[in-house]
Amino acid sequence: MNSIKYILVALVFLTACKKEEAEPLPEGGYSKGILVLNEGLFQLNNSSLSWIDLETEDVRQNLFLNTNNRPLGDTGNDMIVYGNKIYITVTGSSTVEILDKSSLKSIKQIPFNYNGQAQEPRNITTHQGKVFVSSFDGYVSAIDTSSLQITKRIKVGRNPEGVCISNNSLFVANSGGLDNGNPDTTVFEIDLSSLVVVDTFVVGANPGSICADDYNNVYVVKRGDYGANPSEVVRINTVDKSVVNLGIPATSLTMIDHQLYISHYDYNTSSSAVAIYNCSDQTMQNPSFINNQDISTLYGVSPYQSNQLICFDAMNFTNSGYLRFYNSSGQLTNSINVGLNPNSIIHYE
Amino acid sequence: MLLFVPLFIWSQQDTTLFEEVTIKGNHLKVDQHTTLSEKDIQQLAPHDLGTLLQYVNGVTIKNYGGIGGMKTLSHRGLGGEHTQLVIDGIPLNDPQNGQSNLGNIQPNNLQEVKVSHQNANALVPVSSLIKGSAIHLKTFDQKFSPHLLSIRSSVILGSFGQKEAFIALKNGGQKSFLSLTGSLRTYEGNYPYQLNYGNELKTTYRRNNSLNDYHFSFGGGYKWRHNSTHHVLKLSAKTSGIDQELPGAVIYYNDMAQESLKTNNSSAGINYSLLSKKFSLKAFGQYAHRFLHYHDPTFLNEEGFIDNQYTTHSTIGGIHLRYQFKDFIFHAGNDMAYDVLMSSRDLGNPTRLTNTAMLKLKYQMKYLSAEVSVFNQSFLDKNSIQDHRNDYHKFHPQLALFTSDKLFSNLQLFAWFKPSSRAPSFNELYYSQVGNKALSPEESSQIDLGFKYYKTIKRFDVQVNGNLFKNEVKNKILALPTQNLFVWSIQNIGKVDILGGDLHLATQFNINKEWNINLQVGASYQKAIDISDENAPTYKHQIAYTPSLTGNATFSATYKKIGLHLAGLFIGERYSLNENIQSNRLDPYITFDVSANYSFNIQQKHSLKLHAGIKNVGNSAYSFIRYYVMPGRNYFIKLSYEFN
Repeated sequence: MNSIKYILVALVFLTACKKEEAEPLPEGGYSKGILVLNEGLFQLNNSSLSWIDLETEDVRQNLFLNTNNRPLGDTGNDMIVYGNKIYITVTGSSTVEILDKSSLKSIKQIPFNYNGQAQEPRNITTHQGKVFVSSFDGYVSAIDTSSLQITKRIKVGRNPEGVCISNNSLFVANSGGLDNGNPDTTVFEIDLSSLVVVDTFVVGANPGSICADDYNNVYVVKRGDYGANPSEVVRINTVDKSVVNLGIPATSLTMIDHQLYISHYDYNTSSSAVAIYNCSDQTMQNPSFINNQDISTLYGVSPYQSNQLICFDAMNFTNSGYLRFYNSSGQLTNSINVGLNPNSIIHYE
Repeated sequence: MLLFVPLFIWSQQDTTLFEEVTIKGNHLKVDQHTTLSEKDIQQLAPHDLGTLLQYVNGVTIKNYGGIGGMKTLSHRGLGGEHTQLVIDGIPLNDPQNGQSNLGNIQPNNLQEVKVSHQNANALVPVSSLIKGSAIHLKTFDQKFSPHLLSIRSSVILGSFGQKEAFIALKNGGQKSFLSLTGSLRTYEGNYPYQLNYGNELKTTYRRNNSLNDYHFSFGGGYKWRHNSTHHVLKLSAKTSGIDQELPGAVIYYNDMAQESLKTNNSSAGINYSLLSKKFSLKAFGQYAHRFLHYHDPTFLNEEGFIDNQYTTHSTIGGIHLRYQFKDFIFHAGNDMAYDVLMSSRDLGNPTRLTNTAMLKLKYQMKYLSAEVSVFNQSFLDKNSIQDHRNDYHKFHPQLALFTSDKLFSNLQLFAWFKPSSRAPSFNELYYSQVGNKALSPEESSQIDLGFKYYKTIKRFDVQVNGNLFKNEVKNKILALPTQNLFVWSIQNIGKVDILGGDLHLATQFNINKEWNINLQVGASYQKAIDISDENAPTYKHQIAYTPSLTGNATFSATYKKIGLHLAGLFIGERYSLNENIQSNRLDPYITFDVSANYSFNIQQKHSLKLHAGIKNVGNSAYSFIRYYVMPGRNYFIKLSYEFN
């Protein structure tokens, strides 16, 4: 029996010794690189941060774990930088992580629990010393960026997701996505001085990604029902209060200068597309900016440097993803393997 | 100890046990199976069938927790849907999930557990013969007994609030029996586990993990003889209720799960056998009612909770005939099942008619026996709310060759080929958003080459058993996120290639009247790789949660009334997703259980036994499925009383 035990123990050691070594932090903090938030997969606690060194193109995985000696958690949904801090919403773990931008050390982890229930924070936007976080329990919370305390909880619609600022208003897309077959259809406008809901726009089923231009327009993706009701861009004019469905297929939106980058992954045909919509003259500038052969599952786009674009490739959502770099004419210039389901980046100049 | 004991029993004669009647021939027993006897089961003291089956070579149990945790089976790289569970000769199906939760089957009344790949002669339901493998359970409740009264009873106390009581009574006789069994169990399940925080392990306690359950059954049987024809009729009725909290995966920073599940299963079955010299027959029928009630009081939808209820009605009936003519044995059989699912969700009212038909011919030559069979599988699905895919009909041929003891004494060589289909479950077809009504059945095929060697040298028995297998799964049904991470869909996109082998050694040494030693060691290797798409990053990667290497060993020594038992289990590295990268990798683990028992003999027919043990002696912190943490070191004490 003993010899069997030793053989089995030896087997464990032989196979267990392949572990990855943690890497030390760079002197003087992080710079000249790209920080990537990898969402991971639901219930696998594998949301992570990757760091791409732009000089060497080396990629460090599991940066949050290696820096803070604890994992980021489950389903990191959104990440933004504001001042010298980084804010990350971790939906499954129901936390908001606040990191120092230079060292990536966690300054504070805010548990998003209310009455013993997980609130599941989703998306983040910022305005004048405040960080606004939507959470699936139907609230937007305001976090003061100096005290790092939640100062206000604003009741909104069901399962809010996308949030953005236009003029002195906060726009919140209420998805109702957790009510299968009965989604919410509204975008709420919250006055940033009084922090109360002042207007409601009906945009269509299951609103998600949202962003604003400089011309008093807010664009939102109503995701429909993943069937006959398609996922499209809807425009809200914040002045005349009009709501127009632009009929452009979309899954998520990014504003780059005056251009709205509309990414669309059609899961029926497994094709990925990025369209560029000009917000200043409200015309479609380029309906097909990239070649969809380059990407297997488009999960979002982000501006990069002055005239480049990074597309997030989720690789069927179950394989480690890629950042795909495009130049101004839409040609693929580079691909870098990161973690599972990359969804946000921060570029360190 | 000695798992796989019955393999010792096969001897120079083919003994096909048909209930209490035996046919004798001149061949080695050709059934390909491994068996756990009542003694093995008692010595391993498993919590449930899933825990027990971990000790069968080639079986991988996907283990989601301790007592009450879901346990599903994977055999030689095929999913649990390819294995048929048969209890006392009647197949048990779960059309909603497609496979049985082996964590819900208690071992108290089990007298035999047999994992079978290839059944040569036995009159088992043909739906279990077409499946990749079958688990046959025999219970105390359905066995004839010559004694006026037999009793099996036990009380167990274990760590983390485990309390169990079990009693079974049987009134037997020459021609009939009546049995009544009942068990109750409670479990708090608040076990400590260690969670990895980078360089640090922190101990936390599992919460929302309690369980209460009961199982009751009634059995009856009558046998009679008309000239040289034997008849056996058996009836059974069972009901059970399981009320459990669902802890779910451990989620970092969010330990607020409050989900719960109630399960009620009831069934009534009838089983008839006829045996004569040349002609035999077995027929069965069963109705089973299954009720599931899932509740999540914290879900963030408009109502603020999820409350889903599902009721499945399953009716199954079958017949299997055997006729022997000189060196030929003919088999014919048919099973037909009808399942209906009703629920509080918008799944419609799915129904399925499943039919399995079989014709088989076995020819026994001097050195070799050959078996050719053809199966037809049909799945006819309907649902009130949606159009449906076409009916499915498929012919599957099976072939098997076995050498006889005239060719090699003490050694048997065999080869078999076995293709099979499994229907998509109702969840896979209809579950809101996720389900895909266009799914086709998943198809598997298995080729096996193997040997069995048996030798007795004085008081020392040894048996070695080995297999090489090459399996394939086509149209593998996989759940994948599609539109985004919250919208999953189930698709027929997978193709898996499995190549492996296993080796098993069992020895028994009866030193003298007082000393007896058993040792068995098994190891299994399987390379189960994804070959769906050669351009995918997972091409030729080992599929998720399929360890390539597993091993088990058990040892027992008995001296007079004392027994000492050791069991070890090794599960090799595996991946939480199909991509074989470091971040998806789960460490291998080993667990050891140790226990000892002492038997007090009050009178000849009364037996009182005390059994105490430690499970996971090494306090190994492990999980088979990522973040479904398993208990560390834990203890149990069991007092059992048996009469006759």
